[in-house]
Amino acid sequence: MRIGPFRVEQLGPLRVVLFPIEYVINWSRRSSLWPMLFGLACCAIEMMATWASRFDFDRFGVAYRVTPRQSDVMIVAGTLTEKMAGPLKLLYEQMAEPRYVIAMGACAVSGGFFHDSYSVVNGADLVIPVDIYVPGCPPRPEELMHAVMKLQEKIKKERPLTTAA
Amino acid sequence: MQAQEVKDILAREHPEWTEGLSLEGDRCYLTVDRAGLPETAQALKNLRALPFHYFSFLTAVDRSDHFELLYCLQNLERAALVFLRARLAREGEGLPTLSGIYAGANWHERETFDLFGIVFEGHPDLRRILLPENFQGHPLRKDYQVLKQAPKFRGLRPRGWLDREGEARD
Repeated sequence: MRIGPFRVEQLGPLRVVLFPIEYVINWSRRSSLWPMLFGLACCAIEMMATWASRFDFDRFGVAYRVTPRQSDVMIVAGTLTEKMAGPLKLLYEQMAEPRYVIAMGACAVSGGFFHDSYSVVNGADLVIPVDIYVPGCPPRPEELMHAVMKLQEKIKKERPLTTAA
Repeated sequence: MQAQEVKDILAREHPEWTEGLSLEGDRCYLTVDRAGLPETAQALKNLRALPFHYFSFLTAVDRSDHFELLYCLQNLERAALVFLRARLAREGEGLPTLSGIYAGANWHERETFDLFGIVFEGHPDLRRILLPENFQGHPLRKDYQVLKQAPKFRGLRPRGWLDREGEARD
């Protein structure tokens, strides 16, 4: 009998459930994505609102951390200036794999409103690899939640053991 | 406290400031010569009747033929503020630092130097504060061409990042 990716078998007196181990690994990774807060500017306010009581991000399993050492995903929320680009790269490198990046807001996606400015980097992806781009200025909390859901779908399709071998 | 009261107190305590004092747009301005800035600031800080003990901010305005510097000093208990105004030529002139009198002036003067190129003589640590250390130019000057002078970097390494020698690499 099959229930989604699971198979229920009868082995003599035992009833066993078989499941692909990669499925469970992906499930545990996507269900407890701990973001590192990288709130740089106004998008950080919307990010805070997403965690606040009206939208309650916590029910997605995203418990924010302030250090990259303990986090799985980095949410770059706000304008990236040239002076901040160095620390951004440093903190990204301090994250343990598997790690993901969400670029939140027009500024983190492409430089946004400050595209022509003398001090702004046109998008976080000029410095670190980005998985999910969220447009908006700022994106609504629901849009940030949708971004995390998209990231969860992306993680669901991963093959962690296959590629590692 | 209203600007008129501030002006009256300052004119009464220091009659030599009378022609430098003015009321513009509900604020009290005191125009001084740039050499007299530290003395005036110290006098405002020590004023018995209304001591201006809080250095709020410092900004510069690029009037095309000269710079105009505005220092905002406040007395927080009585909600009084006064603007010190000084004029500076665009090239070749600096002005004395106020960081010895007001500790808060330190970073504001660094910011003004960073964005305008105005040199504050006697400043303990005058270097860029908001822009990267090896940034060329002073962007808030009117002759800074925003779209041409600052090339946007394209690539994984930002300008100046971890370049200990200070050279820019794209």
